[in-house]
Amino acid sequence: MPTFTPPVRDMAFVIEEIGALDRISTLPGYEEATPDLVSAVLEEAGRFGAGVLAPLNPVGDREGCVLEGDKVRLPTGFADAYRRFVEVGWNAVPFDPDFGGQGLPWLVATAVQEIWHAANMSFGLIPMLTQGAVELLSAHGTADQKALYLEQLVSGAWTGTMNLTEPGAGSDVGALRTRAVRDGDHYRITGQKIFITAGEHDAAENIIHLVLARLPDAPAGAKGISLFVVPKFLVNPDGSLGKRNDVSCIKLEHKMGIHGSPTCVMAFGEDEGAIGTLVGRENQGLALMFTMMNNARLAVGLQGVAIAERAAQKAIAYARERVQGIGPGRDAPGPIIHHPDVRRTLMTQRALVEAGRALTYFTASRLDIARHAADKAERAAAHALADLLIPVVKSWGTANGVQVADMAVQVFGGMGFVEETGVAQHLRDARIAPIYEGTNGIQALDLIGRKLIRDQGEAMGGLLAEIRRTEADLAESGGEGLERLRLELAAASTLCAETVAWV
Amino acid sequence: MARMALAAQRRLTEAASDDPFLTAKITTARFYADQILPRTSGLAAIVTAGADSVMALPVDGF
Repeated sequence: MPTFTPPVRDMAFVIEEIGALDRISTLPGYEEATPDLVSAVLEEAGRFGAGVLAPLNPVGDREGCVLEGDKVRLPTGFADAYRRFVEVGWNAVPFDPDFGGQGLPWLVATAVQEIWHAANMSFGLIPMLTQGAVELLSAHGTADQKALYLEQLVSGAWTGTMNLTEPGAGSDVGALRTRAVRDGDHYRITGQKIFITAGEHDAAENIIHLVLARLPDAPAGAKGISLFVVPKFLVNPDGSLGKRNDVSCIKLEHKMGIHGSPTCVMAFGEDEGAIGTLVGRENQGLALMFTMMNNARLAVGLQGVAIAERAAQKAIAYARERVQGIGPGRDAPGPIIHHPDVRRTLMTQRALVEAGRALTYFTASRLDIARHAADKAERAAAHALADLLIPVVKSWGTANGVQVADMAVQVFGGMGFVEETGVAQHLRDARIAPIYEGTNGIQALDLIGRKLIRDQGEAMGGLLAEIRRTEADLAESGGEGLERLRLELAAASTLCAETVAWV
Repeated sequence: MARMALAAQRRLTEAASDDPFLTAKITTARFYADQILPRTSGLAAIVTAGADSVMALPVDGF
């Protein structure tokens, strides 16, 4: 039976030792984030993830989503699970208490989200997309937009979507052609968006679409894109739901994985045009999108870590049980975990998961500092470091996700290739993560072209200095056991510095 | 990984007792040093080899 044991102790360890929880809890608003609270939250999240979400994971994979007319039905149990998720308050964890959020640091929210993604990656995408909508409206929404949408998005009563991609505009989002025209005090949106996660579903009463579109007089390319809020149901000033807006799901994609997540083709304005309101200024759309991109990319890197953790757990369980052959130094057939090749595979999984988790949580903690530290220089340095690390978190985390899930299939042998054991699902699910939210190729361009070159490698220099400090610590307190680690780290950081200089 | 190993060591010293959870952090960090970090030198060589041979085959040659 597929089981999931949320690695709560490992997460708490990383939060405290790598995320520097003691520093984060001194930031204004985060005073309640003590180790005890964090452990309690993680335990509770673990219970929900393991008890409610994980059992639905194979269900989602088997059933997929169904489009009936313009309505999408999520797999059995998903809509109910989501309502429970919202009732208990899980959607609100990282958000502003002023709008009903629980106000926990991103460092902690990231760990909680790791549990969702590991338990059920398809499910985890719903709150993940809503998070983007919350961030955009919190930072850039008008007072009206915040009043109409924010509380419901924070609680999760309504969900959010990101509508950027079109058939001719993926990595090159500037090529998009969805149109917006001014119409009195709002806009009319017309066009088609593809690959829209949770564009339509039956888990919530309203869906708030964030849509990139081009005004008639806008410049060509990326500089002529505006951002609009297009609700599925218009919302009256008293908060009640009004008319159904002119936006609908016209197709669901049949994908390789994350079958429990409805990947929609959204048609805007097949009738009189979907009503939308502007976020920020006209032609500012892409810049606004970038403000939430850090967290979105971090979240996807986290998915890679999460799916790797889940797949690795399956591999370990199998390797402990499956008896084949006599391992070295043993005298009878035993579990394959005794074979060095299997052992090496399991250790590689473990090392990649632990390292990926540490890097991801560390980066999340820098985002907390970047937003809330009192000292401007400290905020700037944390922001620069987070900016530098995010393309690495996204691309390394997701590449590892695929690699570790692939290794898990291998550990299972022939039964790994048989869907019944459930491990193949993780590889199929993992495969999207290196692609979406900016392909790993795009992340590489971002790392070199934007993050390294623009500040002349200053943030990178800061990071290397930190690594040198760790090397010094290893020299001082590492002892013989960690001497090899110190040497390899020193060699690697030197190579890194040289390579950066070459670039 | 190094920071986690050092933290684990510190906690083991503070507790002055065994804890397989903490020892495992150190063991895994040592594995990382032996089996994962050395990839860096290969990757660095690949990066600094530059883009010439990457782009040299003309489009029609594919």
